[in-house]
Amino acid sequence: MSHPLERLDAWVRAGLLTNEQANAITAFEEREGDGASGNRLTHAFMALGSIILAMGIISIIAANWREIPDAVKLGMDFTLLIGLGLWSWWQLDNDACCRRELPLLLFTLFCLASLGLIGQIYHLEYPWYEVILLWCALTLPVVIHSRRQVLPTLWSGGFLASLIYWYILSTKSNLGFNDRTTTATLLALPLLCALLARLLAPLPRMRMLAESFRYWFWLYAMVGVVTMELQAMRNKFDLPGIQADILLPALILTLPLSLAIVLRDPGPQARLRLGLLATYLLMAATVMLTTAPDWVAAPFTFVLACLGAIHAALLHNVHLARHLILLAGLRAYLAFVTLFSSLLATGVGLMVTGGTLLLLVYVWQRQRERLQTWLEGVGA
Amino acid sequence: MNRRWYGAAGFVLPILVLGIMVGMHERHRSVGVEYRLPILGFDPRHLLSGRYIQYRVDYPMPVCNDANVEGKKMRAATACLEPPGFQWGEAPPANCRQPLQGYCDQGRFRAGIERFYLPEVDAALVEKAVVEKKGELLFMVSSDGKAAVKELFIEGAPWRAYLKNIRPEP
Repeated sequence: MSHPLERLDAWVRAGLLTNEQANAITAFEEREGDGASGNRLTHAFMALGSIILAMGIISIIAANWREIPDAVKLGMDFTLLIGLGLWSWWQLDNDACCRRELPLLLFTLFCLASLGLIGQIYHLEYPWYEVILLWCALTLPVVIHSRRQVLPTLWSGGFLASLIYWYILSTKSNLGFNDRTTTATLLALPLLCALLARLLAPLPRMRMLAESFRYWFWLYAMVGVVTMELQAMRNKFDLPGIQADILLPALILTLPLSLAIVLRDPGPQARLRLGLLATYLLMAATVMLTTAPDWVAAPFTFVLACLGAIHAALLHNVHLARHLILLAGLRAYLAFVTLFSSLLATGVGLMVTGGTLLLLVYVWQRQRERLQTWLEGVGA
Repeated sequence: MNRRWYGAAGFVLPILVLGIMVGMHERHRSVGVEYRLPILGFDPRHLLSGRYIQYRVDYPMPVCNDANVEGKKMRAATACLEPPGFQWGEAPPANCRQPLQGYCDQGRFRAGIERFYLPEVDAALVEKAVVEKKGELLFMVSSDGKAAVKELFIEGAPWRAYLKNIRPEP
């Protein structure tokens, strides 16, 4: 689905809007919205500049100011922090994105810089993931004020990374792809992200955080699928002990996630999400618990990519849907290449698959309304 | 109006917590009993890690030397500085007047004082001195056994003074 601003001319030609209305909408979006490409570009540069600025501040702190006494360093730090806090609070109700988001981003990142400075001055030994978790706890009340994606995504990324590291190390495991706990964590992570997104979405202030967890869900779902593909390729008996415990964290998260899906989204969307979840778990069980050959992972990946693409399309995330369709096609191609020894057989297989997909698209285009009505009726 | 004040509370929280952290660590550093013990390198080749040096404190008593410890996993332990002693677990040895809380990790006792941040330009020289066994650590220990780093000494002088003496005048 193209961006609304790009459709304005078509709407004017169709008589849905007047020229004056279209110009007024364009002017408004350029001034205060995030729809115009100019605003997105501005926001991207603003975010990049803020992050680089904050990293510069952190680097200067990390370079150890030799000549400045510790008390002065702390005094300067708190003065800046309070100044940034006041600036951010003053701009909270400002609708212009740069004026509101920039101080929020700087304040949040400067809190992290302050934690680093305190650790350095007092020679503290806290592991990085504990520091990040503390930073997340302290800055959550600030992050929820953000109305853009940059800050919530940074926050949720830091939260997830430190949570994963803390969990893996607390089980006395070594972080590595040969490790059972790491594998189990990577399999469960997309379910955790989806659950957090589902739980936070209805809360008015948490909408942006929910969106950020949704972003991490897609990323970690792909990581989870790649993890399973890699596990399928190796002899799974390399890993000592029973394999079922690798699925335990994912299985624990399955029930609350299923409940969250069913209770929040009745209808075809819920069925699609549950279908994705079931396929993901089935793939994990097949790869981890059976002696199935390595190519068995391929159809699961294909189905997951297709279901994911449909889900993304229903959420109007066309770019993601396209990428997932591309991935599905790539995986199908790799599967055929691996399965069939001859290029001829591979070619025939690919033609059959490609032809089937084109036929499905043709049927969908011709019968879309009827199919949509049927789907809605099934879900009602 | 209430929304603005809720918003303000969100900004006050991290500043307040950071301020409390500074206060707590400053108190740890100033209240308690001072001890000064020699320090040794973990691994003479890699004392420096980023912007800090890591070392082990040379305690006047054997620590973490139980050969029966299962594996070499981290395990809580308490050293006693007066009189010198050591005991597994969080309880101090009997008649201990000054406990030091920590844990044993791969045969080494760690009390949270095994790291010292240094300026980048000075780190290599200080590292060399510690490897040559010229280093001492000054630290405070509270009555409940929590330790806090105060200063690093090289050849009996604070590390800044030591570096000033050994560097030629510009």
